[in-house]
Amino acid sequence: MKPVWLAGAGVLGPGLPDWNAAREILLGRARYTDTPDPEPVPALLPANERRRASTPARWALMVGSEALAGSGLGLEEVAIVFASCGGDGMITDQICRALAASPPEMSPTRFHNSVHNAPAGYWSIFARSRAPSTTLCGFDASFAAGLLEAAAQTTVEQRPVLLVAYDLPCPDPLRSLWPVSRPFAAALLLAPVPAGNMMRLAIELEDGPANPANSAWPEMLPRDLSTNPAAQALMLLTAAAKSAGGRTELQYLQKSHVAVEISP
Amino acid sequence: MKPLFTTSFSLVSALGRGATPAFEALRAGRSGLRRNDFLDSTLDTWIGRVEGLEAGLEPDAAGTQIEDFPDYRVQRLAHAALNEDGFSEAVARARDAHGSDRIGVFLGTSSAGMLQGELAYRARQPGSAALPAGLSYRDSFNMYAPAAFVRARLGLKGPAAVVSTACSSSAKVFATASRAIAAGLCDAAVVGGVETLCFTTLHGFASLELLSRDPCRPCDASRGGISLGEGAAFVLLEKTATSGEDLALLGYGESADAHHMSTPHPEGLGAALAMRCALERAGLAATDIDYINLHGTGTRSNDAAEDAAVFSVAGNRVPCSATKGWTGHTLGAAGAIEAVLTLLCLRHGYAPGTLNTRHVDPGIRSQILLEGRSIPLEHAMSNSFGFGGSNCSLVFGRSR
Repeated sequence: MKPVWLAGAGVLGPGLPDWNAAREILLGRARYTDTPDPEPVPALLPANERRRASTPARWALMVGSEALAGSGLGLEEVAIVFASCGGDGMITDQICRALAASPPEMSPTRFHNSVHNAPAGYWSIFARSRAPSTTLCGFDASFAAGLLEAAAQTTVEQRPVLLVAYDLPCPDPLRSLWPVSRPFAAALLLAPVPAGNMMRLAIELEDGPANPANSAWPEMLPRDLSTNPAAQALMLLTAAAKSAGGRTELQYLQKSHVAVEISP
Repeated sequence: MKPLFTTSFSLVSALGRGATPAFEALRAGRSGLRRNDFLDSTLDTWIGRVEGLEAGLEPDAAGTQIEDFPDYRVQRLAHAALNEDGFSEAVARARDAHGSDRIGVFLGTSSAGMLQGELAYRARQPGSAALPAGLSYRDSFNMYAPAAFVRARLGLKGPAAVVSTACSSSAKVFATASRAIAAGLCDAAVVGGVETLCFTTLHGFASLELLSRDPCRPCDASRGGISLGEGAAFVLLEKTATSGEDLALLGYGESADAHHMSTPHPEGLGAALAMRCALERAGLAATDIDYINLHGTGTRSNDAAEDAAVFSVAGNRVPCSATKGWTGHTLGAAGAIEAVLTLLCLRHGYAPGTLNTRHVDPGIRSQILLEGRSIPLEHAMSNSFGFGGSNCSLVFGRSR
């Protein structure tokens, strides 16, 4: 694929309050300290809307607006690719419990918040943006699937595209089926042409499993975060944090990987 | 954009298995809707249910089964559509031509295998929080479920993803596939949508008071909401035509409403933007469009907003109709099912009416067809709009 350029990033997870802090940790210049799971309150949300927006929407808005801050781009100027494996597991659980009641019950707000693209809907409302967005799922490879779509859209449509990946733990009994125990979200702002000192990303879909040397989980971060599909972003961001860049291989669907060559 | 030829397509819906019975039903004005008889649901509504899904996973022509996949309703439905209209054979031919790693799979769904999850929660033993053993998360709750199945079933190894943007999902996969091919990630793509009936959507739309008690009547003055349906449709997109037929995807347009989570923008501003973007990508003017397959759900707000959008883009010159009176609203599969119906209309030069609709809402200004008519069709548009204000418009036509 034609290269794209990294114009901004956003990160949120336990012990990872934002991209600047995460970068220092990934570079080994600051120590990782685990914290309770964050409960983001995006500034983008008017106070009276904060209760209405679903939890995944708050995570997505938080990292998405961080990636855009400082880019010079308005919230309404970028197309967005949302990527999530599990969507809103809290709502899935609530709905399944209510439907198992006799007679079955359903709340209209819960229903419209249950769609996989609920964060995209809240984003467009609060950002007042009619720009296109899409919401993907690629199971364990949801981040890599989102990266491919975001990069393809950046090069084909020649516009800046924001990738927002998030996955949050489910309550029991769903958690027994999908063992994600820590929440995480990340955003990458991709540009079709370079400006300033942006890193260059050459992205290819390649056969075969990822080379372990290029797909290692950052050892300073907790293992229980590594099972979160969105946290695949941290492997790429580790290379992006270094001034020299580097090669990352993200495990994709069965026997293939997405190779990302990052260079200044 | 460069046209992408629709070299094969298949369809399973309430109208039956295969594209031929669906088109015959369109011509005959025969609806696939029935009074709600979905499992033990007691909601007073009409549904477009696919017959025979209660049977197990059928073996394919080669007599093999993929044992890695459970036969939940979503896989059964996807499997049924893969077996119709020579679709799997066409993909096998494309696999030989392009290589299995050069064909993408991009599918839309809004509920994946949610039904299986709902049933699992119901089946929990009193006093026990645990779900029944053996439930596969990937093949039920997870949105990727239909793509995992279809990709494995077709033996494809290219890029794959599920787009889940409510009722625009399987229209947007045409845009996703188009970008993946243009970017060089693959040379061809299987796109489509798979959606089964489930209790979440039945009770969800009931809670919003959007379920019609009668068969849905899109654009009718007395329309009372939607009739839910289920179905699956697949389309093979390739850069070159492989048969005598020259039908192709010519353009796509996507937008957001920035208005409300479950109600469209009243003036249809987002919808109109998607339609204009699709025309621009196709290099066509609104006057080049011969027929519009409306999203046309039958709710007060959708039909009014869509009419405002269509009228602002194309005036009342273009014949428009909604086909949900035949199939029901198949949500995440609606985009692909209506894309296939639109391709059938282009192939046969036929613009269907709007089934069940008797008196067009006097507030609607677009040209709503009540009766089908045979007219030459060169270019047609298909609209799909979803919760969260997610809009997608597709343009299909002949490409030479």
